[in-house]
Amino acid sequence: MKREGTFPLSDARKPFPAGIIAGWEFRQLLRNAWVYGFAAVLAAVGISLALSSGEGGANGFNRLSASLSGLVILLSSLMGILVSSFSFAGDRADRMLELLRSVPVGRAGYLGGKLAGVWLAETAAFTAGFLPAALSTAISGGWTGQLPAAWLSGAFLLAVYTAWGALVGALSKNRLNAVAAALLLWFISLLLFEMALWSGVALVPWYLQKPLVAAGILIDPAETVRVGAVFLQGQGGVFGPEFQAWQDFFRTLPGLAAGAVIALLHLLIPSVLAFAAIRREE
Amino acid sequence: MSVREIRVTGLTKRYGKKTALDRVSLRVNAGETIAFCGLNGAGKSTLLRILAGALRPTEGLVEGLSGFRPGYMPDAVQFPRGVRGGEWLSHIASLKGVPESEAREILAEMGLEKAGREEAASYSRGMLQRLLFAQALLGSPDLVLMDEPQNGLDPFWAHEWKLRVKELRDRKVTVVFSSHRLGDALETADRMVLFHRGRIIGDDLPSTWTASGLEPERYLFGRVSDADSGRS
Repeated sequence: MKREGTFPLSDARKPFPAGIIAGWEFRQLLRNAWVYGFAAVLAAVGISLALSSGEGGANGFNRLSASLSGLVILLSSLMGILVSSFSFAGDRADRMLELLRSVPVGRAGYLGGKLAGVWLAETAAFTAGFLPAALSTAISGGWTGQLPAAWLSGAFLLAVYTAWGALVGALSKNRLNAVAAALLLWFISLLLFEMALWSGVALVPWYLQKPLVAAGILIDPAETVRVGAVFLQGQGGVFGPEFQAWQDFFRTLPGLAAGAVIALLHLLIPSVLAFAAIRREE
Repeated sequence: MSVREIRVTGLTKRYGKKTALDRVSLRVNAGETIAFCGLNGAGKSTLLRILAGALRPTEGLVEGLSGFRPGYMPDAVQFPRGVRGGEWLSHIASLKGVPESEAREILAEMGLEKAGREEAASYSRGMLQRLLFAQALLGSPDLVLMDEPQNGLDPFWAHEWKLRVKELRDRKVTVVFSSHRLGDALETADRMVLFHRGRIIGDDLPSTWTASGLEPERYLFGRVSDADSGRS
């Protein structure tokens, strides 16, 4: 105990909290059985789909590859929001956040580092599950041109739903509340929202239908990705001439810029809300 | 050389409608050892958390903290499964910019060298407290803040804790801790700050308590009763 001070630190030795926290979260989550569980389910269901589906479809957009895309959207969003909300709520419930704040680690460093670490671990697990599923799809005659878009969709949705999970975790009293709220949000976003949107479209006057569909697709990240992935492959025409026109726009330079802004907003909005929720808790 | 001190002025912390701290003012001089005493819910932990930077006050000012390198030991941190005590301490060391060798050294001083390779979630309360004490001491802080640090410690480590606090005091490290072990607090502290219902109702030398001739618990109850009946 006769140790003398190691502070003040030279600039060269000053730690970068966000990077340290990201590395820690990444290593910890790679030991998490739930993350491997998601990867295993993605691989198993993906392979089953490949083995049980027939070929067919129009313009290369066949049923088998569409099924894999749907599976990726369902599972990556679920994994993102569940793992993240559990992890963020755990830090608060266990008082680890309080300890980190005293180190001191700033809110931005904590949130940024944790989001990055959780997302990297999830993406690693997702990729591990996606590869065998994608390989089976290719062997079974699915359109392989769609696979990169499916992987990108998964990685993007993992990031977006990880950020929503951070918000849910920051607002929840404990892990159980966080998981329940995360499941409810996922159910609304992935299943209820689409049904509500198309029911709503049928009820509004014709001149409101187009803006409502556009707003609905842009608001819900799962919808954005569902439609965006189709546009990315140049298959928007399967939804009708209106979607073909939107696709044509999104394949121009201003359209690509608009798409990037939309993607960024999907990441930023829940992250900023999570930051505010963490601040409010103090 | 200017005299360093922490000045707390009119500090209030509310959680919704509940007031945890009510216009508290306090000065902590560098090198002092101060014990926060009081019943549960008196506001001791809230003030410690604010001093540690883990909590923001609703109103009031805390000045002078930037001149210190704090180490904070919270009460009752839990660890998720899979986290080993030693690797966690190394993680905190990285965040503080402290060499890993120092983390290993402190871990050994706390008698956790072997246990450091085990999951922290499997530790007894006393082992957890020693791990948390170890992380508070990482980086040789000159301000050590501890919330109920003796909870769960066995007689050997409770004694060791006292020795280490005295050692910190000898090295002019500022120490602020909350405690229900009033005998130990009287033995180690320079000042006894008594909290009740979010306010400070006493800031005394330990000799004031001992001079009363009462057991410290009885002295505390008397002061609290006086505060409730408006006699202090």
